[in-house]
Amino acid sequence: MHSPLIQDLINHLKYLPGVGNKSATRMAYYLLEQNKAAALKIANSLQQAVEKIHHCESCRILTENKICQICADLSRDEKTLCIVGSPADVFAIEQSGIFKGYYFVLMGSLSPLDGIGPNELGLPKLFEKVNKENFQEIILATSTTVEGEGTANYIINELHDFSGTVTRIAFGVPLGGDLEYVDGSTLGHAFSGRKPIS
Amino acid sequence: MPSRQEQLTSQAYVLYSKPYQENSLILDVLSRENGRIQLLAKGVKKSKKGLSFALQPFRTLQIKYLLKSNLSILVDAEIIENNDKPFKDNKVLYSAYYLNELLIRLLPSHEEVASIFSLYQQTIQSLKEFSLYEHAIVKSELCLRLFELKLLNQIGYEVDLQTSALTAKQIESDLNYVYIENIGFVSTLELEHPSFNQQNTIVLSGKTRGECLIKLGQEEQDFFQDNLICRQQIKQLLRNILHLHLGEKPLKTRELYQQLFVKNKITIHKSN
Ligand SMILES: [Zn+2]
Repeated sequence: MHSPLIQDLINHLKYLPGVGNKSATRMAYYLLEQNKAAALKIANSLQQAVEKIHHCESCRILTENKICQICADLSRDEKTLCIVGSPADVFAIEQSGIFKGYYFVLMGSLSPLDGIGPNELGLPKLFEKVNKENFQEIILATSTTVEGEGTANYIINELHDFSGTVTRIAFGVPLGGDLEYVDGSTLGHAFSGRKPIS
Repeated sequence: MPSRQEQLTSQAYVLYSKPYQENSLILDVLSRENGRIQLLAKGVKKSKKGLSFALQPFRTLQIKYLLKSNLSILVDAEIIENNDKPFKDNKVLYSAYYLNELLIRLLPSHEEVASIFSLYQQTIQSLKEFSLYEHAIVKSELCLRLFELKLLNQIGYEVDLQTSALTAKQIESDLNYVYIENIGFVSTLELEHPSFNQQNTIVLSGKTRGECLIKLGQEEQDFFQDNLICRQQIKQLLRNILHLHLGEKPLKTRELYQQLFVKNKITIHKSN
């Protein structure tokens, strides 16, 4: 029905989360008929981003630089490190403005049946970072799902010789489980109500 | 036109979930009524009720669903156990994930096995209980081994812990036994006896003391807590027997457990 090139485009747009055949077809025809300039911009951006984006060497967030903007910002509080599950969590916390320290992004949680272990989460890198730098507080802000708690507890165990304080952010009500779904004020309370782990 | 399908209700545990499209999950579930089933939980990540939070492993759930031969449809779910405690010990938590993987690998879908559901439920509850104590994983070991043993029995592989397979004599405390595939336990004395024909038999590696087998059959918690040798021997034995059923593909949960708790890792310096 569609010409081969258009069909290819539709098929490839369907790789996007939440995009089915109908939306993909709509997008394809919109780009080709009404906004070829935008189509080229998207194509170019995608190409550039895919080629140049990689994990920040310090915190594992995605960036085109060796070190991301947050890690490169020397005005931040070098005494605190916040461990989160995903880049979306970093954005949520940054938007709330509650935290001024540095981050480490696990990009997931320990998932036994998916074969995601400590190496996939960059934990050796995290422990190296903790050894090398002078943090006084490490805040665990992983999600409150079973996997998130397991991951947090594992990291807490591994940090038992860390000389500073390890804290876990507090959640009154377990919401979606992921920080990105928590609104700013809830996140603020969760941060200020964080508790040291005994 | 098919008539509107009846909605079913069952207690269930999520064994595994994976994301599907943007807001949905595909779940592998152990249900009391229909055994292991695969469920599509549509749009749950956006659910205001916190449904995706409820749909996690090790929680006793009451699910409503439409049963299909392939992928069933989840209609609703709620946590039914009020005091649904988390695991307080990570070694026990990751051992519980191992049980989930065993079920997924060994238990065929849609086989109604209420006894497996009860076994799993009891095992998870006991493990959560043990996880509150010191040396939680040592306390949990017998529970894990009994799960393996009973699961083997349920899938039609009976392991007779009481009689020596060749002579039909009682297993004796002081003898060592090997396990022969499809035959059973044979004492090392019988094995060495010239009358025993080893041809066409597969003898699993490792020996187990008769006493350990007897105590396993009697489910002697205190004995296993205090007896490292028996814990090791029974663990190896059941691992070898399970291996016959699992085939070559390694268990992901076992590999993770090794990585988390056994292998050498970077440690945090004491003086910072
Ligand atoms: Zn960074």
